[in-house]
Amino acid sequence: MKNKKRVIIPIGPYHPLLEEPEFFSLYCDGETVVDVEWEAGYNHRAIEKLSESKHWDQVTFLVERICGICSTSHPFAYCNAVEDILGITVPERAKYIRSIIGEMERIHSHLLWVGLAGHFLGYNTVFMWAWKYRETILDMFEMITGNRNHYAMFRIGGVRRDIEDGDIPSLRKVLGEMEGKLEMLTRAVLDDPVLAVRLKGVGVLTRRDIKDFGAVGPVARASGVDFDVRKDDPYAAYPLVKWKVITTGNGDVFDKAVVRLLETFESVSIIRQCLDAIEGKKGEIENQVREVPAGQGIGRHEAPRGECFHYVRSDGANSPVRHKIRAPSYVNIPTFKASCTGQTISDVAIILAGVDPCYCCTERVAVYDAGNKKKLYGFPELVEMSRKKTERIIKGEMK
Amino acid sequence: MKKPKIRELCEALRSFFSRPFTTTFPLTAHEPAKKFRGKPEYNEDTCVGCGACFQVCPSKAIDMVDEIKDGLGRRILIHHPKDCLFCGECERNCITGDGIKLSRIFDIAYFDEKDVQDRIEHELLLCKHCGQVIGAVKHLTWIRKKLGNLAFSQPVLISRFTGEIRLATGAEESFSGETDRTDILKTVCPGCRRLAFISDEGGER
Ligand code: SF4
Ligand code: SF4
Repeated sequence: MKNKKRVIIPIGPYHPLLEEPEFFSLYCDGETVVDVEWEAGYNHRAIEKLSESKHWDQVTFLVERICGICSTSHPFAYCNAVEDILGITVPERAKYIRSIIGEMERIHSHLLWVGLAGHFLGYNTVFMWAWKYRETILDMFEMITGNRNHYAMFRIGGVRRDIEDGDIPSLRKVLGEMEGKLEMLTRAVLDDPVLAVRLKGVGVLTRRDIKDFGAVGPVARASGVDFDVRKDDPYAAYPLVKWKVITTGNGDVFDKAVVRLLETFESVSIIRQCLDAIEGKKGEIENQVREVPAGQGIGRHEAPRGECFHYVRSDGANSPVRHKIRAPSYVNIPTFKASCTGQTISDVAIILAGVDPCYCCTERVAVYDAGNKKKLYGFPELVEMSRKKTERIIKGEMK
Repeated sequence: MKKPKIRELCEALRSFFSRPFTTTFPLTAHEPAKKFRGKPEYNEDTCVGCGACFQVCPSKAIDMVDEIKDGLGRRILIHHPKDCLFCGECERNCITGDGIKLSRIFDIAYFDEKDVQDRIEHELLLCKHCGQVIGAVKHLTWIRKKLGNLAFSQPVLISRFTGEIRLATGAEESFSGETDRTDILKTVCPGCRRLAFISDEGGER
């Protein structure tokens, strides 16, 4: 049995679109998933190697393109790492601006996730609404940084663009509106009876699982592990503002949704405090960095999906000699082994989505019958089954 | 059970009666934000052709081609929007400050890439001996102006200056063929100048 399972037939389509495309095989016994296997490394873009051929400032833009959704988390961690080598801190204003960008990104990333989760469950209205609200944040990004994504705000030693006083009122207005929408969305999720039946107790990860797999971010916090780089290893403006780490205890998909939704409120409050701190003031936004001495540094940032880690080594020349990157999805995805096993196939789509991996990653799912290893379902069918299950619950056929 | 439905109904009604959130983009023009980072464009007047933008571009979206034909040199800088990240490093590092500027143009879909490329041409100053590129004429003039009196420490800049104020008689640029000591002060590339330094009056090295 065990040996037979090792036969993995890679089933396409391989869209080398986003980062981290993986290959999943679900082994099922009837409706129940008995084992999950995954493989990564189908889309090796050689970012780490490429970064050794770019000079320090250029690498910021390279790593920004690792992820299309949380595009600022990599430059954030990278700049932290290089500043660690340099032993400098950035000017206070730059710290606030960095945190504002990081938190705005968290809001839009979490909203994107809420939308996708609704989509998988067959709640397409949630999908439309969440993405509609997210759009206003993206417009704010365009206003402040000049682009909806790939903000190019980070620079070793500070930030590249200032947030002008003229832009702050409209940002505040959007935050105010956003809070109302988030409130509506959160309450709708919290007291929706169908969602409760559908998500509670599904894909549970215990504290033990989190420790075993080393999971990070909202996935860990939903299981009661209050690990958050912003608190545990403070950087940028996070120690200067008041906020709290959101944790819940059940570790199921419902709690992961709750953690994400509540985190957006914290983000709104962090942004507000940062805006208060920079409004009407002038200040330096960057420290000039002439050269990077030999040495090594690590940089971390709490990306929307969890801890993003960069290690950079310099020999005093123009480009890094080693640049190691660990994205949060990389440690979160193996938790599927614990969370999917024993669940029904129709729950798999939402459990996989609960970790918030890139969508294209999960495009490669194939379901095998544990007996004969025949491919049964692809990811579209899984999503379809997931929606059907929700419908059945709504109609009262299932509890 | 009842209350949440009302709350969502309100939002649904509000969405129903408000204008569609999406825009009818190709029909109505889209106005990007004020600080939008769009396609970079060269400025004929202020770009001096130094090539710094070409060097700093993280994605190698700018090409620099030095062409030498019939003893005349031309430097062509071409910006390829298809490779551009719109990061603004070129604008930031431009030595004159506004030789290349990010515009607000976002519509750069094309059938023929040449339609959207931006290019700028500069005259090159060539070594009178070996024909190697010394630099863009405009760049050297820019450096000369920037350095002021300090420019008189550099023979090429001196000869540019004397040329500009019409002091040049032509004698300073006469070449005997072989590189010799007097060529130190003429318009020669660093390689030839080094050669001139180590030759004695008789032209022997
Ligand atoms: S904006 Fe950035 S990517 Fe585009 S040409 Fe300038 S430096 Fe290169
Ligand atoms: S002057 Fe500016 S735009 Fe022109 S080549 Fe130099 S850096 Fe590029």
